[in-house]
Amino acid sequence: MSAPTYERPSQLADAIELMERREARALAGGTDLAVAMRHGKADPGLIVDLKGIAEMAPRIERIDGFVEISANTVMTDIERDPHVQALFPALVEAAQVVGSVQIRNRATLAGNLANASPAADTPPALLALDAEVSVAGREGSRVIPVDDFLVGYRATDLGPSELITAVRLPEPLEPAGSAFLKLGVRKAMEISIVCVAASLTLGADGAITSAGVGLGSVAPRAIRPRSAEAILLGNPPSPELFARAGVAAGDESSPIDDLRAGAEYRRAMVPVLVRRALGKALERALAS
Amino acid sequence: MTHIDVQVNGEDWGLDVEAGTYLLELLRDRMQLTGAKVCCLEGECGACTVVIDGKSVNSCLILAAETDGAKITTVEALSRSDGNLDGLQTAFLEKAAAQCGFCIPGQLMAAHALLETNHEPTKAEVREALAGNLCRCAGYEQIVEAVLAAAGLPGKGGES
Amino acid sequence: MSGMIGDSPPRVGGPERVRGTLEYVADIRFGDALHVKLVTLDVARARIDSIDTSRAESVDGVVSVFTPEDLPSPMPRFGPQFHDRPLLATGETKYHGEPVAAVVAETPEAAARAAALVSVGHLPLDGGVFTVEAALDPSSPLVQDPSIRGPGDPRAESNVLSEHRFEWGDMESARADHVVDQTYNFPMVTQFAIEPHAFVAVPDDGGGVEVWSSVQHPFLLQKVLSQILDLPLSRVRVHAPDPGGGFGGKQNPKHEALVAFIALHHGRPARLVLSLGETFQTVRRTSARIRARSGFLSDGTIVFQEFVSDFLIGAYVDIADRVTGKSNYLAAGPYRVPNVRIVARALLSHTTPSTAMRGFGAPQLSWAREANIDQAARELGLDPLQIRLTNLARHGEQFVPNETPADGQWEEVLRRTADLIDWGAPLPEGRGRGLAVGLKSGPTTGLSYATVRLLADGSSLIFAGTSDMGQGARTIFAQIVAEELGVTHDRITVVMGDTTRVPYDQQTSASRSSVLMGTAVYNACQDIRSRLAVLVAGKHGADPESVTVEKGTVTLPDGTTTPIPEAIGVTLGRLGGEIIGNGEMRVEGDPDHPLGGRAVFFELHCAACEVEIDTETGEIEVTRYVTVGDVGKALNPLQVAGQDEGAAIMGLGHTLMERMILDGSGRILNMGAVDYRILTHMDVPEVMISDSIENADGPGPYGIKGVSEGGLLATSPAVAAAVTSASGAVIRDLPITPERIWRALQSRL
Repeated sequence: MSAPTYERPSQLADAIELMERREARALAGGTDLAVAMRHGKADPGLIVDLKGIAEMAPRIERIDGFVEISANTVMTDIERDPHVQALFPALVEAAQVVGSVQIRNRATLAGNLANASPAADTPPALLALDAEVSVAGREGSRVIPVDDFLVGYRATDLGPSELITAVRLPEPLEPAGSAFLKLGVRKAMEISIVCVAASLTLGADGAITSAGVGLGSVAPRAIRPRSAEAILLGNPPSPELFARAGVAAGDESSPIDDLRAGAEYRRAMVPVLVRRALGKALERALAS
Repeated sequence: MTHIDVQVNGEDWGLDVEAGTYLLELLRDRMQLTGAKVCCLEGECGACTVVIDGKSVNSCLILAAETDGAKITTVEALSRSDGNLDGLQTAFLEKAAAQCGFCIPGQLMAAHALLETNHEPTKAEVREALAGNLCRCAGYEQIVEAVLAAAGLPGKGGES
Repeated sequence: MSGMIGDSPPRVGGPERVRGTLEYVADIRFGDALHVKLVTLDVARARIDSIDTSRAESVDGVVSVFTPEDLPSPMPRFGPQFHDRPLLATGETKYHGEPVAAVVAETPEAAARAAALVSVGHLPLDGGVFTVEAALDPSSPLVQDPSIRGPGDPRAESNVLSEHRFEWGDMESARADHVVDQTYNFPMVTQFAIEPHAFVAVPDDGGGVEVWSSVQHPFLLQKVLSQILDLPLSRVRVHAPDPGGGFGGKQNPKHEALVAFIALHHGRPARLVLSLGETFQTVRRTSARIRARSGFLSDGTIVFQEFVSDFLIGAYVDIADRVTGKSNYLAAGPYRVPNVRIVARALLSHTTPSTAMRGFGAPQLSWAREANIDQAARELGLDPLQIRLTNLARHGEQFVPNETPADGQWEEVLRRTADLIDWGAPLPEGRGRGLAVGLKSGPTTGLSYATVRLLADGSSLIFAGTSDMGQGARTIFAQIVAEELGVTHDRITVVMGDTTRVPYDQQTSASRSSVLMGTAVYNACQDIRSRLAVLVAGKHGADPESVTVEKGTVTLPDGTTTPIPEAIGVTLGRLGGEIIGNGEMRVEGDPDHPLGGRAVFFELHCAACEVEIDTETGEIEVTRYVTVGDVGKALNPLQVAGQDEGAAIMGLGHTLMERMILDGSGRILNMGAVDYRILTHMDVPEVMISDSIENADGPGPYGIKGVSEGGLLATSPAVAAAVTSASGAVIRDLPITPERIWRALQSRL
């Protein structure tokens, strides 16, 4: 077992080339990779520090009807950005509960997504908000919905030398609101038992014109229960509607028993949290 | 080996570091700054908290190599140049916030980072800023009181 | 700020802590130290067939790999109660994390790398004992070979280490109107001090050894090392820097002897610092299943209490048999109970050896006993406060035969607690309130020496063997000297933590230090005062009886007074010098007493809380928490509050979220800080109130008693009662998680 080497490319093209090496691992905030290295679960021969890459420098910008968050943007920047706060409260709420301030000062949204833990906080919010991922690699760059990006348990669509360059969220065109809820045993530094995000936009007649729901910790990856969204779409919001959507979301969940909670409990919590998140999202949409 | 130029507590260092060396061990073993402590080594307890470019971070999860060009502050820098304790440290003493003391450097650095950008934090903001710093001795209350007192704000019962 | 008793002068050792300059064991540099890493297996129970060290030895920087072959044969064994624990596992591992070998290298990284390369040929064994049921099952494999059980031990062919029986009154003919019979479970939890254990051994030039350890009992460690290493006590020096939290988990020796062997073998310092995860494999609290059967009259008077307590103690006894006996002896609590029968068993298991942990078994008993009282109150339609007041022993009452009588105004503690939580005030929907009482006995025997030196300029040195692990021992000893000798706080230095420099102190545990060491320090001050009186009298040609030395002042026959520090400089004259005072407190105990002696004092502590339950999710919020202790005298009120509130938070930890989880092979699944949850800043109850009842009715100087453990004795039952009051859910297994509350509510539908 030889000692690793460290590179800090300043250009994306150089980073991609380095990532082609079999022993390479990408390092952004380090809050996942360094933990794995400390535990002996990762042993990269080459550590590619992404933080010097010009194209990925921290940036939150409105471009062409999207809010684009570059890959090296950290959680605390996201929480505090006025556009994100105004337009995507679910993402703010999710970012705010990632670890601790120390973690959030380093952890990147892109890294959280690339790590693809089924219990991660931001993916459900990104799913509910219809987010897309910009990816660059040897073959060029592409944009892919987060729902297609997350492939399975800790698995993404990233090719061997590909890197996330940005995450972008479509700006709502109508009154919109979103919310994120996390269920855990303690109030900080918690890996969720269940987490839920919901997003709504309302038409002029008050009916729901778009709906997004994201669930975490109830499947091998964060999921988007489409049947719940189908129930919501086109209908006037009401507690009964939200309850039905919650039940449908629960039916699409397949949680397991693990250290943190039992499957039965998780399954039962999905409808409750989805209903509540929809309620909060509605409040925000009506106030927006 | 990677060469880094880093400023630690106002002092400039030029060092060659191995890729696998973390900032925590660099500070403790190479610079003899043992204020930052080793506990969980996975970013969950905050005992290793230092401040990099004004932000509180867990030094156990940062490779030394990543810190090229950074300005790092550790607990050893809080005391004033005349050796006297700073306002935060004094408040920690007055409010009896330190018991065994092992978590205290981390709590101080998280608090220091908070107060540098938020001069009038609420109790909730203090708790959130320090939520990543575990303490097993305290009820946490006295630490929060100390941070509020250092900010010149009233704590429990309205006294400053 | 005078720094005397009852004040809250700044903590001695405080500036070093806030500067970050206080050196814990792991911070101390030892020039050419070798680094040790333990080799362990990934299961609890395995037969060891072979240990292949060749790959490990070829790692750059590795100096040696210690296996049982490198240690004396037969394998040395140690332990404070039984000498059962081997330095390395022999033949079979008995718990997840028992060290099989130890890698010794020039750097910690090399040691860690090589430890992963030590190839231990082993066969995992089935049938590991991880629960009370398995320990009691006669078909389970024996955790300890009968050959290491005590000679003639009738239970050697079982996993029952010991059985403690306490009984008084007449259980057979006791008649109650109402009986509550329930079983409660208290899980495995761990001390989780933020400083992991650290051990360094440095051989000296004469074949002796100096050891640095985060240990709470340096003199006990010295004794154990002297026995295992076959060295006289005078050649074994233990340095015990202030630990970064102990909570009982650092009381007794762990790997120091192994590290000492390594150091002596190589002639170089050897250093072992455990990871946080490894501390889970090293220390924990005793877990328990307790069946409590309580009989009441319809007015709530307790007629009888019967307990069958099964304490799962782990693979080696450490101090856990004592935990079992001592805590169960007071299972019936601080109440007047005419008929009691307690059968308490210490059960061996293939798990981390449990040891002392704050409360020493009392939290486990309170969990069961108080819950039964609350159930009786509900079923009899009685106020939970009233039912306790009805039964609480009064000051001086002999509530346990042949035992120290109730030593405080305990009803005052309970009433203050009830006042502070506004007991009886209306509660909003979804909120509930609970309160509970906890009792623990202090030490039953003990010995502490202290030396105080009053120097020529009136400043002072205190030498005391107590371990200051956060409870503030240094500070209160300084306050005693300030009070008695009039030395100002800033002119007192407290020396602790070095068996060569400070006189013998038996241990730091059982909340004993304010009384035992406090008395020793106080007596040392009195020794100085009488010596000073003699000197002053001699100088003035007066009769020593006519010179008064009291509370910091010397008064001459003619009535002139001088503060002691001034007087001493003048009195010592041309030769200068100092006045040395020695003090001790010795409690011999009583060999006929079931616990070896009566309690020196009791810690009686009440807890009350309000909770809010989200009935859809089971989430629980502790909105208000009150903790009140019977302290005799709060020497340093801020320190007492800090300890009591800290204990409450620790109590909320085991109540709401802490639990070590094992898989089917006894492997601990949640070692470390990620999936073993302790409370964070954001989990603190919004309102936290602590208070002390001070009636100066303790045995120590100024009427002090011991503090620091009381605050978590009654947390769990208080919270459980509040949960029931808020939602109807009754929980008898800890921790009270949202999922458990949800399940309990579901089963009521």
